[in-house]
Order: sequence, then C-alpha cells, then structure tokens
Amino acid sequence: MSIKPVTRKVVDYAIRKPLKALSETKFLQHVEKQYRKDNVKFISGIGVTSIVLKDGFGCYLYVKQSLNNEKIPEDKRKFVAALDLANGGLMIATQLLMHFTISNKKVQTWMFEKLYGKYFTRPATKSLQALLAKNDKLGPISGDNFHKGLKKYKKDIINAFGCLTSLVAASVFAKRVVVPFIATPLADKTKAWMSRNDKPAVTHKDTKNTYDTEEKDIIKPEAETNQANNKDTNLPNKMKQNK
Amino acid sequence: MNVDKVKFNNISSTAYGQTLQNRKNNVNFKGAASVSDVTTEINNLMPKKLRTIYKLGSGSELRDIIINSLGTAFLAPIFIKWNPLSKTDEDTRTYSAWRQPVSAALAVGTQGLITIPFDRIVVNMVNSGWFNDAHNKTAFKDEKYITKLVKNNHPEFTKERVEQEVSKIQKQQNEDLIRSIKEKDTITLQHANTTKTTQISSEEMRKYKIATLEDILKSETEELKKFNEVKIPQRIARSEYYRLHASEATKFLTDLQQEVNKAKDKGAIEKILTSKEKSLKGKAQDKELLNIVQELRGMLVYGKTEDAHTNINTKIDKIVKKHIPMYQQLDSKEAVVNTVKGNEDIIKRKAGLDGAIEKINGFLERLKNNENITSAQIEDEIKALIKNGDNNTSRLKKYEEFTKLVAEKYKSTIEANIKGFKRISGLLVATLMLPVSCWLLNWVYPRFMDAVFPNLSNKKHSNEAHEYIDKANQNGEVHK
Repeated sequence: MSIKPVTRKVVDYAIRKPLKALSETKFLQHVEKQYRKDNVKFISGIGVTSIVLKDGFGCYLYVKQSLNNEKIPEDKRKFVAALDLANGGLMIATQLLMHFTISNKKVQTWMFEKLYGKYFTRPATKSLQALLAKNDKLGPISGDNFHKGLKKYKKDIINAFGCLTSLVAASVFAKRVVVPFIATPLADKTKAWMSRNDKPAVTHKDTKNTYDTEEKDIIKPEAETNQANNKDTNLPNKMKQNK
Repeated sequence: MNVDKVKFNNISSTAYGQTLQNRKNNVNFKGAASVSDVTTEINNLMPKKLRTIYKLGSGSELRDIIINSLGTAFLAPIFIKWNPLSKTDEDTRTYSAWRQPVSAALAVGTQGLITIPFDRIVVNMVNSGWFNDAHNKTAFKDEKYITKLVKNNHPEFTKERVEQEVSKIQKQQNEDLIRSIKEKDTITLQHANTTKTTQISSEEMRKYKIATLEDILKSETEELKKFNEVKIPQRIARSEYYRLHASEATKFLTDLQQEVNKAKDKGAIEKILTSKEKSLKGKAQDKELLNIVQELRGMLVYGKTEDAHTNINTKIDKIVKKHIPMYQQLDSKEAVVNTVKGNEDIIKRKAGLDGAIEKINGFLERLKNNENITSAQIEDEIKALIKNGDNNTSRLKKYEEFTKLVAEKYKSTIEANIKGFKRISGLLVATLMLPVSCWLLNWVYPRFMDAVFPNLSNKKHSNEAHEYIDKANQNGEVHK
C-alpha cells in the first residue's frame, strides 16, 4: 500500500471529517448567519473573544511554563515569566485597543476618506468617468458598470489601506515596539510582586548590573568556594601553615 | 495537498469538450468592459500613492507572517535589551530579549507547518465539495484552486498557458452558473469522493431570489431616502441662494472663471481655488459658493489642464447662464421649492425610485406567497416592464440581468458561510496549537541560550570547562 492513500485516510479522519462535523453544528450555523447578515457587532465580538481567549490562554501557558522551566537560570526565570505576563497582558490590551481603533473597519474608512476622499467626490468621479470614456482600450462603458467598477475599486483600496495600516501600526509598531517598551519596566514590578515572599534574590556573579546600584549578594563560583574551603582541608597546605 | 483529478476532468470536459461546441448560446454574456476591467483601468488612472497602496495592500498571508516575525525577531528585542526604563540587570534583559527571535522562528515554523496547511485543507475542502451545500464552492471554484488543478493535470504547461486556461475555466464556470439559474432555476454542485452531482432545491433557490430582491429593495429605499432628505433639500438651499444673491454669485463666478482661464496649468488653478476657498470659509451666507468652489476643485483631481478648463467652464456657464437667471426671477422660497420639485429630472428620478420599489415589492410578495416564479421569469418581467415602461421603470434597467444578481447573491452567501466557518475553526486550531507552541518555545529557548550564549545562561562552554581543568592541573589539584 502506498503512502498517499494512507495519508489521505489519516487527513480524512483526523481533519476533514471533524471539520465537516463542526461546520454542521448549530453554533456554527448561528455564526454563519451573522456573517451572512454582516452583523458588525457580532463579528467584532468574535474578534474580541478571539483575542482574549487566544492571548489570555497563551499568556497563562507561557508564564506557567517559564516559571517551571528549570532549564532557565534561576536568577532569570522569574524575570522571563514576569516579562511573559506583562507582555501577554499588554498584548491583550493593545490588540483590543487596535481592534476598536486602527484595525477597525469604520476607523480605517474614516482615515481613508480624510486622506484620499478627494479622489472619490462626485465632481472628481465625474471627471474620472469622462477620462475613462476616452479610453479606447475598454470600449464603451455603461454608467452602471462605471459605478460598479468604482465601488469595487474603492472597497478594494480601503481593504488594502486597512491591511497596510493594521500591519504597520498594529502588528509592527504597537505590538513589537510599544508593548515590549512598556512591558520590560512593568516586568520589573511584576517580578518584584512574584518574589514578594522570596528570600533576598541572589544574582549570578557573571551577571552585569548596569542600572541598579544597590549591592547584591553575589554567588561565588564553585571553584573559588572550594578553594576557600580547601584551606582547611588540604593536608599539605595545613602542614605548611602549621610550620 | 492532494487535488482530485476527477474533478478537473469534469471541469475540463465541460469547458473544452464537445458539450461546449454544441451548446447554444441562449445566455447573452456582455463582453466589452466588465466591472473588473473598469476597476483595473480606474486603478491605472489613480495617482501613484493610491496605486502603491492598492499593490502593497493586496499582499499574501505569507508576507504578513514574515513581517510579523521580522518585527518580533528584530524590533521587540531592542526595546527589551536597551530599555532605559527598566531597572533589571542587563544580562537578564538580554537573556529575555533573545526569547523574541527564538519565538519568531518557531512562529514561522508553526504557521508554515500548521496554520497555512490547515487553511489549504479548508480551501480544498470547500472547492472539492467536502462540506454540505452551504459551504460548497464547486460552482465557483477559487482561482488558486483551479490553477492547482490545471498545473496537476498539465505539468507541461507554461506559466502563460496555465493563466490562459485558468481564465477560460473561470469564465466558463461563471457562465455555467448563470445559465443553470436561467434555464433550470437551480445550481449544480459537485461532491467529494463521488462523480455524482446534486442540484440545489427549489426552496433554497427561492431563498436566494428573495435575498436578492431584498438587497435591491434595501438599496433603492436608501437611495430614495437620500434623495428626499439630502439631495432635494441641498438643491433647494442652493437655488434659494441664487434667488437671494444672484448678483454676488454671478460676479464671484465670472471673476473666478476669468482667473481660471488665465491659469496655465492645474497647479495654478488649484492655487486660485484654494485662495477663493480660504476667503469664503467662515462666512455663513457664502456657504453655497464655498460648496461650488470645492466641487470645482474636485474637477482637478483627474485628467489634464485642458480637461480641467473645459469642466470648470461648463459648470460655471451652467450656473451663471441657466440656474441663476432661472431662480433670481422667483419671488419667494415657496416658488423655489415648487420649481425644484417640479424639475423634470427630479420628477423622473423620484418616479423611477418609487416605481422600482413598488415592482420589487411585488416580486417579493409573490415569492413570499409561495408563487412558483423562476429567476428567468422575474428577469423577463423586468425586461418587459422596461420595454413598455415609463418613468416608473427607469431604475429597473440596473436589475434587468436578474439571474446574474441571483448568482452573485448565491456566491456571496456561500463566501460568508465559509468566512464564518474559517474564523471559528481557525480560532479553534490556534487555541489547540497554543500548548504545543508554548511547550516548544520552552524546550528550545533555554537550550538555544545554553548553546549560543552560555555566559548569559550561566553555563560554561566545554572549551571553557577544559580551561578550568587545565588550570587546576597546573596548580596540582587534580591528578590523572
């Protein structure tokens, strides 16, 4: 038996059939009905739920796993987890803010109209129509087709504008610049809160401290510590000392 | 992704086979300038900035993933490591900052291996008829899916040949869809794992016809509302202004016309109009003149200087020579209102809107009362009304290709269903993937740091460990 039919069967049973079953659930039918009606409130609600559910759950998992990850050095573990928590919380807040502002269709349309609305005013489109009528390439264009074409163009370009603004403002600037910039100092506070019941923190001796001027307990490296202890236990040295 | 060859053969035979040659062209597909041709040409006439937005904004999902990941990998770490507001030591911040590029690399991997393939599976399922009728796109398959089918069946085709074939198949499937609605008042669907086809029930078709008529009714009602509440009052206000300020308006506009005619290019016209606009702003009684200047500015957006001159002159001449003399002789506002409302164009337009609403309501009522009326019958009745018609049927011309509108409604309904389904299933998959991606990051990240930045993770490289041992040997503390 070749691999292809087997893979197909696996995909059928593991993915396609469950997806088909999902598509026939009452919940999905309700969701699709709202999408058919273009119910903005409902669709927006799904967006918000998606952000809170996905990012909230993700944040919980990342924080929990970072805190319990023994592979991360102990003196850095809480900060990593704190940064995960601050980042996650801020990410939810930012995404929600973006969802209702720059990534919002109404806001994007408003911004587009403010910036480029003059290209779509009635007098402007009238001269555009006149220009298009002179175009031999297309032949005669009915008024109805011109308006349909213009409507489609405007819809497409507002979508394109929305994609670009969301990508630059939300995905790049807000999520990758603003969030880490605020999350890092916030993580200091979160870490302090996480460590409120801990013994005083010890910092590894190799760790550079460029900002905090307070003295910290520094762990001496094992070799040094052993050497110090060996002072008493090393027999030849002891004999030398006794001499 | 697997692509069903049988399905392609179905398309292929319909598209290019004997059936096509023998088919009588009962349906008239008006070629010339289609809506998408007009859209493309409009884009060519737009200024460069809008063309750039149009081009860049229609990018692929992959591009978004890459930009997002580049942001995570290169921007976010900068603001963690070199954060002036943080008091945490630099090493810890550097150690944490490296989590970002590692997570970006993993995100690309996860999305490449899970999200995109999952999306493709759904696309293939809807295009091959795996789902129920509400999510079945076999009557209007996606361009990408058709391209894949053509490539799979004809690996020898060049890129251009593939594009030609895809375009032919798309055109053919669209014509088949409209023809099926027109001739049989149904839509034929294919299904996965079988060569049998099914047809949409008459009850379902009735729903699509009703939904199409309701859309038309909504659009006509909104247009009528706009006409009554915005356009007519605006026209009355402007006409009343002409009546009360005929001489100022005439002087202003003729002066403006002379100035514009002296201007050598569009930039100079723009300057003149801007200065006029500034001088009129804030003066309540000149609001109408300000509106006129703004309308004239709109005429500069497209075309050459000659076009701008012609359009501006035509508009000013119409106002000065026709509208102002017509309204200045009236003695009251009431007379202005009656003149505006009695205008032939206004009467025709209102009658057209009222007529369209009445006729569409008539069709809707018949369908809702379970009268067995096909899309073709509605189309024929609309055409007959236009043929025999008066002012009342002028707006119906927009809807004379009714079967085409039903086909569009059918497509948008299925698309909306699929969009809703994709949103929820995508959310589900992303949520289910979270524990996996989280575990993966927690596994890879510390190991990556140990291997690449041992000093940050407080681990010594094996060569450093050797140095310690050698040093110890020299001191005579370790003996082999």
